[in-house]
Amino acid sequence: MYATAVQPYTCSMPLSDSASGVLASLSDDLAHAVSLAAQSVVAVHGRRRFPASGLAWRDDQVVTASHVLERDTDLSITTPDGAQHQARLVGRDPSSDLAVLSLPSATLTKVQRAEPSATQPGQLALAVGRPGTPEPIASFGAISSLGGAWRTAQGGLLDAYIRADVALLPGLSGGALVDVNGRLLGMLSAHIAGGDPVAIPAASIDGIVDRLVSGVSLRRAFLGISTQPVELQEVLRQRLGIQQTLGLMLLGLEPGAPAEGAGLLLGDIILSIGGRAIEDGEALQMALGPAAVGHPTQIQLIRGGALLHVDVVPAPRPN
Amino acid sequence: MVLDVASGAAQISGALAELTSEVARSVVLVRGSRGSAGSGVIWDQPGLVLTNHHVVPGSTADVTVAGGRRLSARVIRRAPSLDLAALAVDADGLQELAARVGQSDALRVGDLLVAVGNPMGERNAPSLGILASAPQDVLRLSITLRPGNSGGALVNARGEVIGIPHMVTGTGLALAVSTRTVRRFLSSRAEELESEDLRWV
Repeated sequence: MYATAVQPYTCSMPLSDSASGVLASLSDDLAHAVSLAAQSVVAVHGRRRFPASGLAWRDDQVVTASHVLERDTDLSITTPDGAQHQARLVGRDPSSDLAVLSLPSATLTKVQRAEPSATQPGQLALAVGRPGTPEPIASFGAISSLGGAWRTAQGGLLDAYIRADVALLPGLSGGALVDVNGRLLGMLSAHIAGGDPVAIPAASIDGIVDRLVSGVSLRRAFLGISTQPVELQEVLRQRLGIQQTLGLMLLGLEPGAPAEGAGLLLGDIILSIGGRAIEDGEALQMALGPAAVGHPTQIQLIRGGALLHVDVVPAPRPN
Repeated sequence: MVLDVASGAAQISGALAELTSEVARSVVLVRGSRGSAGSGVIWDQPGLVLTNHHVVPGSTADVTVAGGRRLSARVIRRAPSLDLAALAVDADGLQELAARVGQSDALRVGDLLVAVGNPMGERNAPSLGILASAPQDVLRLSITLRPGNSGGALVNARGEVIGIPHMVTGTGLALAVSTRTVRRFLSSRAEELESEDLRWV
């Protein structure tokens, strides 16, 4: 026997009390933040592999990542107390990777949110999930950036994002990105940004959840056009009295689609849709959100050097 | 956490620097007999250095302690399945360099951890992270480690060793052997650990 035969050293050089106190207090804060956040993070069982995570959005409602649900029925969640509950899929939007589940039999501890205006790059953040384990899992990093409108890897358009350099542990999708107080910043998904740790901010989730709960279609609007940004000649702008320097020229029209039906022609240069200036493809996508479906919308364009207005009714984007 | 931002961050920063230099006293550079290199920790028992099995493939190793002293070491126990090896170093003055060993079972998810080792040949480089899931025989860490961190010290906020980093499993993720496992490794009789491939050497 080697180790049992000898007495341990008495260690003589502990860390100074002040250093130890500062770090112990930081460690306590981080562990408490994880534990507070974890009260509102559930395990979501909806795929063959290990479970993913979900957030208690309301007393009886869980928000999770759409991609972790491989099926629409036979879903369940495990609450932090270890109890398993049947869950019903209220709706899902694969393009923004969000799904809403309802839990008739459970009372959840709703997530506590951070003040969005207080969130800044450089702040410390924790990722908290519960992939079917009794204890939560967590990773740690800083907020790298906050951004505006962006396109998800699935083609969805979201109005904001939070990027953090937290490690995406397996099962963290659907889990919480929280601040050092354990307050929610957003929902993590390993899917929407091609594997980058990106969270959908809580305020953006609200809008999508409202639409999913009210049953409003999240299919985006569709005109059936392909376009390219073109510069508008100075002399043309002066003649037409417009400020805009770029427009989108029509290079393709899908037969039978709303744009062709409304009489748009190849070579037309789109200036605005529904009063919103369109200078690039992103602006076009922003103008064609789900809200535009079925509503007569005026397109302002240049044809043959003259301004023209055309009314079009965007259709739901074909699947 | 209500801290004045500047002084709070400066305090934490200074405390981490202090912790790193304290822990570094116990961290050694281990060169194996077949050209391998990694880290080791001077344990709280006379003449004992702990490292990973994979850092010391042969029966002897060369250990450089804080201050630059190079000592020869013998592998006296190893458990490949636990990725642990114990080295005996016959030298004076190790007691002052011994690590304080803590309880890995007391860790909570989210607890602050610092790994100190010799990644990519740099001496005593710290990495900051947290415990990623509930403590078990192997600790899962949210931390960025590199080759050469193997066998070094993973310490808690009080500077107590609670694990020995041994594997990187993905970007920002790593595993460490917990001190719970190290205690079992050191105190078990050979036959108790036989199923786990313990070898006396």
